[in-house]
Amino acid sequence: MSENIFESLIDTTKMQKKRSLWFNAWMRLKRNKRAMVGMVIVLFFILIAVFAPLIAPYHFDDQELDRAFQFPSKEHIMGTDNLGRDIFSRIIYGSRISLRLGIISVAISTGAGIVIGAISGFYGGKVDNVIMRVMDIFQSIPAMLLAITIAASLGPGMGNAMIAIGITRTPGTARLIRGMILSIREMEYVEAARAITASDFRIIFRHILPNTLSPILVNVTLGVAGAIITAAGLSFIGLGAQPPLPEWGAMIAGGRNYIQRYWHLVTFPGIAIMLVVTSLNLVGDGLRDALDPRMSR
Amino acid sequence: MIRYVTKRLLWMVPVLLGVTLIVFTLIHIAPGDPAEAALGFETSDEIKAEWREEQGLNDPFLIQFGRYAYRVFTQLDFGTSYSTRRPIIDEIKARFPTTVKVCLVAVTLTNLIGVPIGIISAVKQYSFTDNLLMVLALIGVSMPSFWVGLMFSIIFALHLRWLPASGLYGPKYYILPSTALALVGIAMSARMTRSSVLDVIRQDYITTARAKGVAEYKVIMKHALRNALIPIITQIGLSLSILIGGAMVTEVVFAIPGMGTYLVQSIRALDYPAILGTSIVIAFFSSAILLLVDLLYALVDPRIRSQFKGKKHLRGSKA
Repeated sequence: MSENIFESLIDTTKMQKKRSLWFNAWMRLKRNKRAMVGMVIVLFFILIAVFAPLIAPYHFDDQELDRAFQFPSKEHIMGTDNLGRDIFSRIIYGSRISLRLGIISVAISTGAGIVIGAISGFYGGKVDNVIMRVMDIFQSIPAMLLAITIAASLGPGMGNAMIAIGITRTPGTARLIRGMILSIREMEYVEAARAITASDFRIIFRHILPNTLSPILVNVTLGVAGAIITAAGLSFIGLGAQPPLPEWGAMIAGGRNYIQRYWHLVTFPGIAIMLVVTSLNLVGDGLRDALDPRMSR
Repeated sequence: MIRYVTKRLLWMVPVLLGVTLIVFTLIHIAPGDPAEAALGFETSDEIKAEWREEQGLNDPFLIQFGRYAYRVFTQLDFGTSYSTRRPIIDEIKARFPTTVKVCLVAVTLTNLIGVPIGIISAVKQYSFTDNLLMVLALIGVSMPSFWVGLMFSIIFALHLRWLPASGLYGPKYYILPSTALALVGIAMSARMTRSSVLDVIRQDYITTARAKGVAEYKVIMKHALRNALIPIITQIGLSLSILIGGAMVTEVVFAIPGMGTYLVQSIRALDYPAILGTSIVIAFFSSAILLLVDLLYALVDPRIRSQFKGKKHLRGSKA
């Protein structure tokens, strides 16, 4: 009995300690109306993406040429495209593609950025110098151009677009992580870990990286937003998702030739991009303010 | 100062070589047979083999790269286009000024409008104006510029018939593409300017200035803005680099015969030498701008100049 009380006491103190930082950040985030609006819309799109086949009234590749180019109506609330496909359904399926494109490309760049940034920041000296100069060179190429060139050399397709965007975003992430590590490397607790002969790997992954989590989280959120825009651009010029996939950028490209008479083919996919990216940016901005109250802007 | 300028100029050499190497490698690993792309499907294998030998495509990678870089840097020779058989440099010369003009108009608009918006927002932080402007700016950075371009041409060209929708036959034709590009740029620049000014406003010397009774407009104009100028300059260069990237796709929307349209055409035609040449020229252009910004930066900020008076320079992280 007494042991139980003792244990539960320990548990509660542990819990309080553990949750305090993130819990406080969450409380601050909850008070931020803009961030909450963004979060609701992002969650909404995630749900749409997950349950696309249940929500969409038609399949994304249901072609019926005799109903092509219909303006928005009760039956097709966003109209139909040049092949008679329901634009609303395509946008719903497209949320799967765009979110996946954004998330996987950022996963690539974050993974690579953490490894490169950690090596560079932790070892410093010549290694750091060389790595950072190489990153400089990559960053002197406009991001969109680099993505286009990589995607062009790998060939069209979703997977290649993700790799292209992932590589393009890596130098920025690596630089962010390196900066964080440079400042944490000299902290006392890192010195303490070193004193008890912890390996470099352990110091980096157990002691340093967990403390860089909040800027990484912000970077990931804003990164997914940016990656979705870049991916749409790649698909627009024919390098990303290929027809008949309803990627939003590809849908805009498909409707482009008909804008003279049918505005709805390009308008709705663009609005979808804008909504998702705006909300992700809202969440990212909110997270930044919530995780680092000093930087609140 | 001279020391810094020389150092920065010398650094351009590895940057340009590195950029060339990156793009060259990318195009080199691209799948597909260049001989087939250049000569067509029906060509016999012997002729293709001969052509490959003639073009030096059988040499080791580094030799091929060395030869290419040598030609690019000494004679500005980017090879011949597979599809038009003309020297690529001629194609680029015909298109490069167009892209530069579109981008220059866009970057001018971006900074003339974006920077003041950012300053107003920062000075009136948390006011209704600030909130409104920042929500608009956030929406602005969340739109792909090619889509903004399409919306502009639907509204202003096709429905209102104020401006031409595509092509390039006079100054009027620059308006829509440049504003479409600028819209996203303005939003970006407003956000960045706001946060740079806020960073400065939080500094102790601003509090000091206020405490000793300096008039608020003077605090802003003399103490805050002067110091915020440095990050603002960096961001002008950055915005130009982002605009150039955006222009690649936006040009396609308006069928502007610039570098972006050419790049996309070359990608569709699998015209690898043209893709390579176009990418390199644009990358060079953008590195040159970054160089210019760095030099300007040093001119404005005495702290950077003084770094180079010592024996060894310590580069801070530029992020």
